[in-house]
Amino acid sequence: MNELQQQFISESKELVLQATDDLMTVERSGFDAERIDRVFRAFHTLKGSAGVVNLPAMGLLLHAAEDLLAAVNAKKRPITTGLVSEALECLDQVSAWVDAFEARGVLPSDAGERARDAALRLRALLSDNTSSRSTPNRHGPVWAAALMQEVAATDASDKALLAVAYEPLPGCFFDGDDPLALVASIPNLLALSIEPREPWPPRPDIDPFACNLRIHAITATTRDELAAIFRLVPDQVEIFDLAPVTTPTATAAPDTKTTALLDDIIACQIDMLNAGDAGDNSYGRYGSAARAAAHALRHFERDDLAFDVEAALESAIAQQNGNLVRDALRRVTAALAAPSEDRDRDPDSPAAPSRSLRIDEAHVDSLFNLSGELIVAKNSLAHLSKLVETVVGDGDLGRSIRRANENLDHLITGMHSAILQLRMVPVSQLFRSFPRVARDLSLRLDKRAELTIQGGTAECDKTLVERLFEPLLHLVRNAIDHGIEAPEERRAAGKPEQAHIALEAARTGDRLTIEVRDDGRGIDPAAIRAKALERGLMSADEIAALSDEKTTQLIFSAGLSTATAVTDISGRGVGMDVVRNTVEQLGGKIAIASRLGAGTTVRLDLPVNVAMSQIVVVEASGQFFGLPMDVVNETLRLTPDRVSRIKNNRGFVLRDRVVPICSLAEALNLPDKPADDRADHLVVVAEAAGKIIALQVDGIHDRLDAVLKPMKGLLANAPAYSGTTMTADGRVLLVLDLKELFS
Amino acid sequence: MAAVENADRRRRILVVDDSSLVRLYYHSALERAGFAVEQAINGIEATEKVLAQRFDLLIVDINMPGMDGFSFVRDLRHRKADIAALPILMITTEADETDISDARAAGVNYYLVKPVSEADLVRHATALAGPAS
Repeated sequence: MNELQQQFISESKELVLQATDDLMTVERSGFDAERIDRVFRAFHTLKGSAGVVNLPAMGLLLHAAEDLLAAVNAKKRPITTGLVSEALECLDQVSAWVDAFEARGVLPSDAGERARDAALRLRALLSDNTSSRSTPNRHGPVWAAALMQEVAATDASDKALLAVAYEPLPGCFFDGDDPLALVASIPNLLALSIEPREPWPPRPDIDPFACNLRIHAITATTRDELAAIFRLVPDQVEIFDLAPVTTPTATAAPDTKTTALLDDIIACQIDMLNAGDAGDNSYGRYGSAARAAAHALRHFERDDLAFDVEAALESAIAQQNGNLVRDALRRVTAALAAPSEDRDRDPDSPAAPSRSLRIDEAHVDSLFNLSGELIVAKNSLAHLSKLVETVVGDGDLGRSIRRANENLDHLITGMHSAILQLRMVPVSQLFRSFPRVARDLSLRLDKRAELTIQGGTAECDKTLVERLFEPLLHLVRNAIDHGIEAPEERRAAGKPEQAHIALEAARTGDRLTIEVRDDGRGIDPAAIRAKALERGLMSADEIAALSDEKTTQLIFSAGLSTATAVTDISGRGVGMDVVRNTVEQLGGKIAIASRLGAGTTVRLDLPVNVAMSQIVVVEASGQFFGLPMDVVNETLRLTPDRVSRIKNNRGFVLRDRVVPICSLAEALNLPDKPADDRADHLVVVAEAAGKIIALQVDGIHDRLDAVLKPMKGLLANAPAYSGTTMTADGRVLLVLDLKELFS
Repeated sequence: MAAVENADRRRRILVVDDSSLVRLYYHSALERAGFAVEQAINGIEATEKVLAQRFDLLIVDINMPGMDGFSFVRDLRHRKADIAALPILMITTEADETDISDARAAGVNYYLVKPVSEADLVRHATALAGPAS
């Protein structure tokens, strides 16, 4: 994948998201010229980029969508839910293709067909409007609208037009007909397309005496004239009235398509000048670029800019320096973009754009991992300084090493937190797809809901953004599926028909809270009590003793769902218990508050920095424990002959060092099976509290990245453990503190 | 449509393509749009015409026997006279990345991929050749 393609991928993703946001805003709040223009430009840029990386199918689809949007942009077409849905679907398709392109470097093999179908649908949508006066016909509008694009582009008259569909019979040649001659005799022919009626057979099978053509034409002539021309083949011809060319496509064209062409021509000149060999500064190149650009600028009535280019050309000739032309063309590009420069302002983003640098996520990740390893590596210095003091007996040298170590410690800690800062991303990245989710889902359920976002600028570690999407998706779906009532029900309850879901983030210190609020029907504690009893989660007495608030929290228990009807929306996917597990794995808490009839609020409270620890899971006496990777040197399988017994102790020699073997079960006072001297020993060699020790375990399992939670409650005083973490399957894993265990 | 007032004031376009059908198609489309059109079958003939007559735009195909489009453009761009800086629109059959970059490297001002509709051809030619004076 070359740089251009990578640039295309990241730019396209950004544009798709932005256009999605804008489309939904427009749908919600009505015509907004600036936003519509921005959507149009996003489609236009996407189309252009698709051409640059050579994805014709994507270009075809976007071209059709762009034309539709041009009509909207020119206020010739109202913004309807149907239109927004089509445009969003188009963006979905583009997004899927970009992903496929990123993964495999090509589009799926059906891309061409899909593009054609979708383009046809979009054009049909456009023609519904353009051919409002035409005879309703299933073929007419679609192709006529496509041809009208051409008519609109050529400065055509504003006369009423006729569209002609002529499908000569296969045997027409034998009837003495000459289809092409007939078509050629149509006066005022404005646009013509000729295509095969059936797909062409392989060349040897083509029957040259059978006519396989379908001819479409648009003309400014009269019905009578057409009738006269086709008088011998009336059964093969259909004629439709078309509205004058002053309809959407035509008026939209000069505003949008043409300036797009101008932008395009200027860009091509810059590309051409950039493409030349370094030494190739010939007059032919920069002279032609300047002339082509000046011609186009004058054609689009930007004489001021054309003059600038021509002046630059004169200087370039005088100084024999083509770069002057290129610089002038860049100024032109900027000037052409200028009037819409402020369109990128987003209410949610800070007014002054902060200077930023795009960095590949993978680079940040590897930097983060390296800094973690650096900390571990640095830890050995402390040990080394002690060795120098005690074994070598050089106190001064030992102290010097310790001081150097402290210095290093300070710097590495600083670097680590700077890298953590690099991983900070705005929560808006997490939130941005939810308005779309809410829109589509509520449409599907015949509900009316609007999702608003607040606090999107709050920043958090990117792990949170990556891991919280699924849980939030579940919460938002739940809110719409179960929380929000149908419009009639809301009206009856005296609520506005349109429900409101708020997704809100706030950061205080190093904590991030995220709330998902809805103004729906709320959660009925009685229903949860009944369900909990039915599922046998608690006894009747226990349930009766629970406050309403505590009862509501039961929704996070595994195996409890309050959905009375299992719909295809919340009936699958993650449940509330999985939502809670994910939040807890990230070191956070989740709580729910609900008022019957008034709505529900789910609140997530999370650490902004997710300090991940690497942990290896070991097994002893049938139980699982976590060992922090930074104390583990290696894991070994020892054959019995390597293990030597010294009185009651066992040990083995590892690189000239005697390492004591200690059973983990024994150290934790767990029932241990009698040591079998004939079996292999599975040991984890760990270094802690200045000692090296081999922990004998029954099994060594996965490694995982986990957030350690400090021990709480009764366990808080258990010295052997440094914390707990959740495993992927929701179990609590105790993580051992080897320093304490062996001190 | 741009009115055809006076033959001398029309923009002049040279169509360079080895296919007579394509030349005819472009020729008639452009003439309808108010341009004066000349034809050449390859780069060699095009060079002769360019040296002899005034043109505002050249429309050039890539694959032609004798002298292909790229060689013709490269050669023209390195001439000393004013003809070196003629705007050139290249038209070819495939949207091939290497073709596009070769075209840019040779000094082509704009690039269209076949099939080019009459409307597109006229739109681009009009913009590149400049408005009729």
